[in-house]
Amino acid sequence: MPNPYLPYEMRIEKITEENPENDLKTFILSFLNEQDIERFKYLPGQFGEVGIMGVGEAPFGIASAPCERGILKFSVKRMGFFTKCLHQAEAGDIVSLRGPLGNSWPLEKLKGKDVVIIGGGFAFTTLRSLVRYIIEPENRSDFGQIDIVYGNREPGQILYKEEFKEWLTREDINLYLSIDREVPGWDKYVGFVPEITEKVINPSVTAIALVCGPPVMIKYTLPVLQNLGFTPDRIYTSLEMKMKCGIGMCGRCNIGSKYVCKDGPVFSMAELEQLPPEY
Amino acid sequence: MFDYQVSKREFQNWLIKMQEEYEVWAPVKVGKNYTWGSWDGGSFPDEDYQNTLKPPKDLFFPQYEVLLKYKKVKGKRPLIIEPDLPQEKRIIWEVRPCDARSLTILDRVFINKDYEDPYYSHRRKNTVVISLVCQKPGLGCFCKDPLTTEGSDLMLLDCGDTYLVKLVSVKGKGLIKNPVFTADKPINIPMELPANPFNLEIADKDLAEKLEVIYRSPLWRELQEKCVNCGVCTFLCPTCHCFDLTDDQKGKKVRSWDSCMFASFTKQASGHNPRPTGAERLRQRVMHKFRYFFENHGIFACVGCGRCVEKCPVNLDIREVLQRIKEVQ
Amino acid sequence: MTVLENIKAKAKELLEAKEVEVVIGFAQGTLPGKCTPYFARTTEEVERFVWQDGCNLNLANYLSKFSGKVGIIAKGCDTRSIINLIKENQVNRERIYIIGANCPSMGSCHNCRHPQGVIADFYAEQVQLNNQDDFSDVEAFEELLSEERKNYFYQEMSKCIRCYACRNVCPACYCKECFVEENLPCWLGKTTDLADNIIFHLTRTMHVAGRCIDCGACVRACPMEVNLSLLNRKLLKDIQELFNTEPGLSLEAEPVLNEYKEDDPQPFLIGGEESV
Repeated sequence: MPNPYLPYEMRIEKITEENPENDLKTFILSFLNEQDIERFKYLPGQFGEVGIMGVGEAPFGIASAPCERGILKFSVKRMGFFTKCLHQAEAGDIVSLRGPLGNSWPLEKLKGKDVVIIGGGFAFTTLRSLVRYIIEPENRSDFGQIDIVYGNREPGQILYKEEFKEWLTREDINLYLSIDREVPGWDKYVGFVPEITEKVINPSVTAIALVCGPPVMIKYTLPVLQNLGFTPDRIYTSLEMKMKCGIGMCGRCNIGSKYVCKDGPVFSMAELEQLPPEY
Repeated sequence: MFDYQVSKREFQNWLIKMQEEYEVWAPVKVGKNYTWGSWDGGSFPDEDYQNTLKPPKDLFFPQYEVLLKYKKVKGKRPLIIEPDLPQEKRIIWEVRPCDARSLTILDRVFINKDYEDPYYSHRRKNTVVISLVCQKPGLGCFCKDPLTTEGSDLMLLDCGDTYLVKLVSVKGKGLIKNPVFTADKPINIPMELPANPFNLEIADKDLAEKLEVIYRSPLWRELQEKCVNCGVCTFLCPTCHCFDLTDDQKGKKVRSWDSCMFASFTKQASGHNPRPTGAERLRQRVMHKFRYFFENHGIFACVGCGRCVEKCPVNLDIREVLQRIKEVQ
Repeated sequence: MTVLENIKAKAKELLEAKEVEVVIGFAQGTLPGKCTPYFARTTEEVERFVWQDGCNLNLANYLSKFSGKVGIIAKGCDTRSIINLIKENQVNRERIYIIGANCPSMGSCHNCRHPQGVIADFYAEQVQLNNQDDFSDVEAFEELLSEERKNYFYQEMSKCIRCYACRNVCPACYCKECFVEENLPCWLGKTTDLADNIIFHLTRTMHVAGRCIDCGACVRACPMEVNLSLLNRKLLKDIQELFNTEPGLSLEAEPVLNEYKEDDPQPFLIGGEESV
């Protein structure tokens, strides 16, 4: 087996500033060694440990999709010391990457079903990967209707703005963009994610909901989804915990007997109901 | 049942011969305590040898080790250097059976179907474990079976001038290629081994059932009240394996022991901590050992070596904790 | 009445009158000679208190765990730590009731000068003890060659496993965040390299200098038997000699390194009286 601590070497190809505060950036990385592209096989929902050599590593969900060959995308909010260092990096800099780590969004289970995607703020990363995966022409027919509710504090915080503009024009996606409070010039939805979800989502009985966002958003969206008829085994979310190894050994990210890094980060509500509420 | 009886002199000679090929490690007395060190070829354990202060996990999953090195030269692409994986062939002897057994628990963590930790697995592969049966339990001991052979390659029983030798694993058998030891038939243990008055039998079905329902119990708060959240219990535990990864300024990625007892262990960059107080941390330690690990591997992550009992600065005794949990109505 | 009976009677009285919600003391431990911190909330629980050899943790360390009114059975060291904690605004004097008693584990500390409580609301024991600490252990060590002293410390420091038991049982080490656990950036290597261990212990020693009251809890807590006492006691001796004071004896006096006086001795400065 390969040494799980040995990272890939990546070059930062492009950095996009995503919000006016400039504390949310998307990094596009490419593999320094061509042959690594084939070795790094991943699915939407998985994450990687991005490292700055001499500083440390931190886990981030992969925002790109496997069909975007040769590159990986990570959107990173400046939070602590590591993300501050990463935000200081420039195109051309070399970083390290371990992965892909963790499970993925339940792609097999989603096949043939309608998919309801609910995201908030900068947590839309692996959901973006999933949408990008689904709308890939060769995959599109595997999935049913796609509804996306994506909420933000205000328009400036919306990730991947150009892409969302394009998705708004697509006929095979029902996209509901919302912001918390009325802002001049905003002609989409206004309100919090749970209420928008309640208003716009009218799911089929087999539809599956995937939720990712700030804890408070998830907390208030779950009852709405259950009212809309989603059973706990048809609601999935992706969890975040402090992680180090990413391979289920270092012992800090467990919730009960499950390691978020290895058994997760994606769990169904049915699975979470079996676990202690320690997250 | 043991396979051979051999005089200590003969055994010593054999081990000295082995030193040509293997590094031999043994408990070495420093002050009043024993620590793992290179065997001098002469000494046998004293009468008072109970166990080493630090468990033998230190020899496989050391307190700290360099996992990778980086070489950064301005203007050039950095070099990631994987250190040479440990290749030394080692024999460690006088390992207590509980500690030998602990290695089988660590194996489950570091070598599994998804990932293999090469630093650990190389050391493990290249090391022969010779255990020495305990003949009297220590003050904090609570093992279930002082004769367990799990994790041992060979097992010894001290019979005064001789050792009884038991061949346990293929690795152990392979070591005695030209039998310097001879025996006609299996040898029975010639003495009564005292049982632990307090042993891991406590961790029974009752405990498992209580651990299922006790998650929210106020008992955790009460039990941890005297805990100071230091790392003694976890660092000296032969099965605790939590670790930290840090990059130092000298270009090394270092793995070092970490502890679920520390507040910093689960604290996130946002400041949120899913285990904010000692109660959640003690619960994690107990649950991990006696419930979560059992759910994942079918075995407790505790061998009853008693180090945490004897060395806890506030005498927070895991045996008492388990007893209290069982008594919860 | 014995000391223990006095302690129990007072503890019961305080709990019954609801003057305190808990009394911090010791109960019998699970190992021979060991006592364990015990928190009595009822008069029945008070019966479990013991006061004997083995009651050697510094209970002042537990005061911050409680927010309400707390009773504490305090020997000399504990009361001196309490004085420091009050002065450093870690503990509110109004919130604690101190039951003073002579340290029951005599003989284990080097010529302890204050085995009886320095402050108390009630003394369970009236005998006054007066020992003299002549710092002969430190003096003997100072006589060694610098190479010998270095080797001794290297040997002691190399035993440390960085479990932080010394820090966590220390009432003076109350920082919520400690530099040794800072990960990003990593202020101090997380190894047990001699260099990392030395920086940990020297930084801690200097941080508690002038506040450490030599209760020895750190030494007793250490599973690896690292002798930290000599470091702490050297500082105490220097403080005694340079500033003619001892920490934790008065609620009024500032901790010695917290204040500056014009006539402070400055042997460590260039031109200081001891510099060469």
